[in-house]
Amino acid sequence: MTAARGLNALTKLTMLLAFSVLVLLVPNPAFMLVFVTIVMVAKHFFDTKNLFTRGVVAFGAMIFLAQILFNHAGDTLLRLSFLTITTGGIGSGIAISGKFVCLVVMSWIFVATTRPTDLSSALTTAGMPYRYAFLPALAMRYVPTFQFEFASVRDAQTTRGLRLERNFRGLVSSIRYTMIPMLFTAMFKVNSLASSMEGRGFGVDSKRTLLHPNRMTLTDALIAVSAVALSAIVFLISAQVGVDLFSALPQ
Amino acid sequence: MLLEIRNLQVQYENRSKPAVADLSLTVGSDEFVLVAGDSASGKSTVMQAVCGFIPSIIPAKMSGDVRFDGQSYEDPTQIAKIACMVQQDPESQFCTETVEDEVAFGPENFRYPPGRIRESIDRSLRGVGALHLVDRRLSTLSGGEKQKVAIASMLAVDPQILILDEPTSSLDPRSVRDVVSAIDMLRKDRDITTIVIEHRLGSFLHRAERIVLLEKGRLLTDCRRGDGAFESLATMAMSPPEPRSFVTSQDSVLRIRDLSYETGGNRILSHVNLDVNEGAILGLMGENGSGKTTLLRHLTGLIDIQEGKISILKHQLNRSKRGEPWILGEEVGLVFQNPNHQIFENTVRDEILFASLNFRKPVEVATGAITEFERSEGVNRCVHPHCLSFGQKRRVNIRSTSSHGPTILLMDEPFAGQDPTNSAAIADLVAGLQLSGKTIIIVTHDPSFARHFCTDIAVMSEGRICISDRTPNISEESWEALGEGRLP
Repeated sequence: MTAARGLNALTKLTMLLAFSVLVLLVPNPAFMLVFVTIVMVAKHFFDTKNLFTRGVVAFGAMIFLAQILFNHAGDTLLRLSFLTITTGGIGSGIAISGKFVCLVVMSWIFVATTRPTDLSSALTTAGMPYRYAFLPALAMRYVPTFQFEFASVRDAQTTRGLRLERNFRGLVSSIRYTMIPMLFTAMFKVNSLASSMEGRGFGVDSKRTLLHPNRMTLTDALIAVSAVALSAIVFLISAQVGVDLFSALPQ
Repeated sequence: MLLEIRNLQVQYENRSKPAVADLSLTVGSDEFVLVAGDSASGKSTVMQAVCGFIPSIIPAKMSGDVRFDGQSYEDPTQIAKIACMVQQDPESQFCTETVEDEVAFGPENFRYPPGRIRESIDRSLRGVGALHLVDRRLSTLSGGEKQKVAIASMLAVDPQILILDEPTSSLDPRSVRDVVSAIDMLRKDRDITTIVIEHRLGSFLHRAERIVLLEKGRLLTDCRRGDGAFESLATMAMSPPEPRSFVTSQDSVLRIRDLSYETGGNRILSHVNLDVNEGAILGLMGENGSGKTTLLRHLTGLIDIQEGKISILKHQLNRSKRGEPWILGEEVGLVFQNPNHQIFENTVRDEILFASLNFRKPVEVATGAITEFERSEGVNRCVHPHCLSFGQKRRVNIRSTSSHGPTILLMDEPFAGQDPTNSAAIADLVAGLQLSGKTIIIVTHDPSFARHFCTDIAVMSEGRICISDRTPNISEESWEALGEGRLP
């Protein structure tokens, strides 16, 4: 955890982007199984509570099941009266759910190990105008606030007897009854935050100094380059292997 | 004069009347001015115009003149080094994660070199007695600590005028005392003009040299210490509310035994025992973070019981028998802290009917509440609740939570941020609900309200109930201690 926090935020962002592109481009399910295993092992080091992982894995499992049930491409492995399981269903189930789990968990690891101000500082140091570099930091800063407010809104609905159905109508009601209070609260916050930032000189100059300039060290640069190179190599290997589920597995 | 406001007029979009009308005011160097007035009297609007937030960030038509030492500015970033404003909710003005980063934010914008930024952080935090917080994350601070950090973050660029918008409105008495002494310390440390906007003058009255009273956007009184008007405002501010008496029954509607709760390794409730009789108005007091909200959430089934048991009306809840919020909610209503989190409908009418329709209850009481709201507030039932004032939203919350017929009503700091007029209106509403047979538990930081209004008092500290008694049985010394934010 400490080692990950010590890395330059831009290095971590480069790693996240490189691995995300890799996960999106690699079609082979066997590779995907390896990626998911690596990502979940990494996640284990960064979060011991695993509350968040449970939801992500559950949703990934739903995607997997849906593919098995409704994707009948490839060879048939099992046929029951109403159920047909094929190699294509399993393959695409692993590939799609794996992409989802990997992307979400990798992003979570990035957020968990990167202070928002470090990210904005790294982006500013790398030459991005600070007005833009500050945006992701602000977004990350408000994630816990909106999580808290979301929970508060849902609790207020529950105590006043609102039970949403688990169907499309329920989804529409949920958006109506949850998003509108959240939107109003956010609008109040925007004015308050903008006043607070401009009231402390944000935007007075085209540049700003940084208390903790986040410069890339040689190690940071090497790690970032290695991540990109590794992703490229793995992608090339996976392209050689192809998309067949079993071709990459030991015979 | 350091600050001169001449013929200021501000009118928000889609409003028929100006929020501030033809206001002229001057403030000299090193003055301590209290700006008072009811909600919507224009206090915050004037100061937002002074800091340049209106019209550059908050859209409104503005005319008149605001000058600092004879010079006028349009851009808030230019005003930042002269006047700064700490807003009502410190949480919503933080843009970083840690105390150090937050205080460094201003100096970084003004391109101070790192060494000078470090000096500014130390000086600003020391100035408000918060240097020990420098390495803390903002999310771990108490309400009072957040307020001190918000003040320090504004002071870091050495402004000449510090404006504080209701700095104590949602704080417990101990945090109020902390913030007031931080401002005292600050004024000893540097010559700084201080303008405090407050509904309740009590906390800063002994420091202020001048009171500016606004009403409906106009200057009503501008008086200095020693003036007759100052003294009469001071007397009015310190006078306690009119005492009320209520009849309660001997039948218990709520019994809590050995209730304990912990989360994330922190003990939030510890062996809580509490009895509440039918018809009681229980004032639940205690400093921020003492477990009051967690206790209320247990009573509505929003938190599962880990240890202990709760007997509420006909429900017996314990670790194995959890209370479902949508079942308990029929009989136990909860008014949450933030009015905006509990407004779901597009009209006042639908909002007040919301719970009755969800619980499939008769709508007669709710319809009566809608009519009563229209009559008392002079607001049409078809108005969007988010267009109402803060005080009106709060009163809609109370009506929308109580009109489906719950027997017990829980209110989490309903008076936070309310002016005396709105607080009195809420108190009237609560009194009416008690008379209609409801039992009420109110979380409050106001010992004066608790003493003169509540039938019973419970004081929490570090997750425990340390006082629980009928109000007349609470000693004078205990009230004095509670008023000072100490435990009796």
